[in-house]
Amino acid sequence: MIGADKLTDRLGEALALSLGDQAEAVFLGSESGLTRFANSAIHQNVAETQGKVYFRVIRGKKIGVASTNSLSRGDLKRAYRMAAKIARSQKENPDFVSLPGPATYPEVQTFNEATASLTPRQRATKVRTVIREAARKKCTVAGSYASGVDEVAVINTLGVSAYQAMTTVSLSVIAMGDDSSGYAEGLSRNVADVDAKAIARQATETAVRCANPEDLPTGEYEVILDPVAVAGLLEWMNYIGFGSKAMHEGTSFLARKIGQKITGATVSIHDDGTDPVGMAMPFDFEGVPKQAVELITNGVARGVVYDSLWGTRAGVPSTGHALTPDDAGEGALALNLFMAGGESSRDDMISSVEEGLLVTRFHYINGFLDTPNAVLTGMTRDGLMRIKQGKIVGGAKNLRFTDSMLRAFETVKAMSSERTLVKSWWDAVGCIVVPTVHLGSLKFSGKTDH
Amino acid sequence: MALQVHESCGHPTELDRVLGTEISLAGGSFMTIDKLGKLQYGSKHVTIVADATTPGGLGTFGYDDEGVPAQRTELVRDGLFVGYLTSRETAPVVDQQSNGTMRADRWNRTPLIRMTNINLEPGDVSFDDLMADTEGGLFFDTNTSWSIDDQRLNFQFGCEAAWEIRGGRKGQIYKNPLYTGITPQFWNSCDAVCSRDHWHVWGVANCGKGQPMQVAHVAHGASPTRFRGITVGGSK
Repeated sequence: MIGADKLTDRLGEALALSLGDQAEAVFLGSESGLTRFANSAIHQNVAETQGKVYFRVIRGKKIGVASTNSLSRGDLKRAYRMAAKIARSQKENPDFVSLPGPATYPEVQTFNEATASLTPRQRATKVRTVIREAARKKCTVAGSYASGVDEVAVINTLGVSAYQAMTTVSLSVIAMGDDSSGYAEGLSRNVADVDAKAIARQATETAVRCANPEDLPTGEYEVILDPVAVAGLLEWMNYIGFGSKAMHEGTSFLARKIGQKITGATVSIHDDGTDPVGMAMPFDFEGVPKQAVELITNGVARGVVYDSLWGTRAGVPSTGHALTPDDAGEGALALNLFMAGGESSRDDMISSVEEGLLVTRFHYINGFLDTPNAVLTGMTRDGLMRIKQGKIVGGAKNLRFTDSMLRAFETVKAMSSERTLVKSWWDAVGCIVVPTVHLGSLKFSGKTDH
Repeated sequence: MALQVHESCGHPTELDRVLGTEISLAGGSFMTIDKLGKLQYGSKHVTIVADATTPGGLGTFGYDDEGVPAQRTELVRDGLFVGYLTSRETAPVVDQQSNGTMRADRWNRTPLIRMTNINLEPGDVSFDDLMADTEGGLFFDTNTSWSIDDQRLNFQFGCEAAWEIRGGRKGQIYKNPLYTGITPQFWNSCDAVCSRDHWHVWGVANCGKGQPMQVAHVAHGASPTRFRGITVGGSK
């Protein structure tokens, strides 16, 4: 770990060259370890330490970005000069007004010493626990156990100075029987929260329950979506709908619908990077404090997230959702999604279903079919279960869903009060916190043979 | 066709994936070892090769990251599943030597079996003749969405546009069409592949695999291809 003082000094020293009208330096660094297993054996154990510094230089309304993976003084200055040179040859960006100014950030606890010091041997021991737990039910396992420390620093010539160190630990387990599989995962800042035995047991129980899967016809089914399945849907809804670019370009399912009811009245989704229930991160990659943003509230479209550039285009302030400079073309995206829970429990929801399905998770979701209507497609995976007369009666062969999420979430019957922290595409600074969701209808358009 | 080859033939013939070491992320493969040399993957018109020597291909190189020379290997010959993408560690499992597909996307990542240029070999019909020979159907162009199950069987791809074909001529255009199928059933319904005059090598610069994720540059040679009895639809 490098630490705030050294990073701030080193980046500040480079910016002191004062190239351009304004300039910014963003550091992303990590020390990470990953133990991967398959066929109930570890087959990959890797560790890496890496760091990258982005310089963004402003000349008038021209913007240049360059990066380096070296923290040596000479390399930093070289990259900074390169960004300044690139800025000179760019077209003016009429929407650019200014880099953000200085801000204060809420104190958020994101570092855990035990996680930071987790060794390969400790990870291997946890994997052994997983393998043994699954073996008790004659299942094999595949999965990964990852841990690490991430550091983010943002400074600019207007006085922004932000630093955060974060730890992350996650375990994913797929348990496999002869003709079935089950999945479970854990994610936290704190290694003590990730219970390898419980995660293995959950995955294994699902695999055992899904043995001898039935072949089901396609069509509409009443479904209960476990949190990982719900998170998969929200991750894609975020990508196609909750970001500034999709909103501005009119492809978002929220575009031209702000203030209108777009889905069921019990559906509320917001983003909050400072909520410690999630994988909190108090500022974005421009150093703007993260704001809590309502996206859908009680079924009504409320808004999207912004960075400073897209905020200017829309005439609103940044909500603190800028991505890294090399991803800036994507616009702002929500990284810390929360879906409001209900008053039910998973067991009560299952009990209420006369005939339906329980989905553990989805695989290979794609949301580029019809973004204004939030149409997604994807396969079920690792635990599609049949529910009959209020009980899980066995597994089913996987099905493909193709449906509008606005329509599907219009049919919400209940949601659990308990919510689960689910992995997202960038665990260190993001996650999805969701309940188990009971839908009256989800349309399944295809099937497969396993 | 490039994405179709990529998802339904390229990935499922990666032998590390077949042996289970990608299950934790992307899944396994229906093209298991017991099916090698036996599975009628496609019709007689379907020959698919892994060719790391294709001129101009994004998946072209001299040696892989284990030092094995780039080479051309048949994966599907006249519809029969005959080969895998292999490495020095995995090839002995099928009593073979590596065919040179181990690549890492940067200096600090472990090499994985990656696609090279996975090419659907051209047939002998011209595009105009293929269209003229089609009484009724749809011509799909330019993938916009893609999804396939964790064993690479059930797929669904969306496209920018489809044109109705009536009496051998292109007619009405449709927006956001999609088609879906089961991999071996789909490839067995292939009854024509256009000739080399219409064959291009299409680059795919963002093929993701592994943990930590690695992004490979691969490519797919393909020409317009006809399939019979395919399930199609629209996204609305």
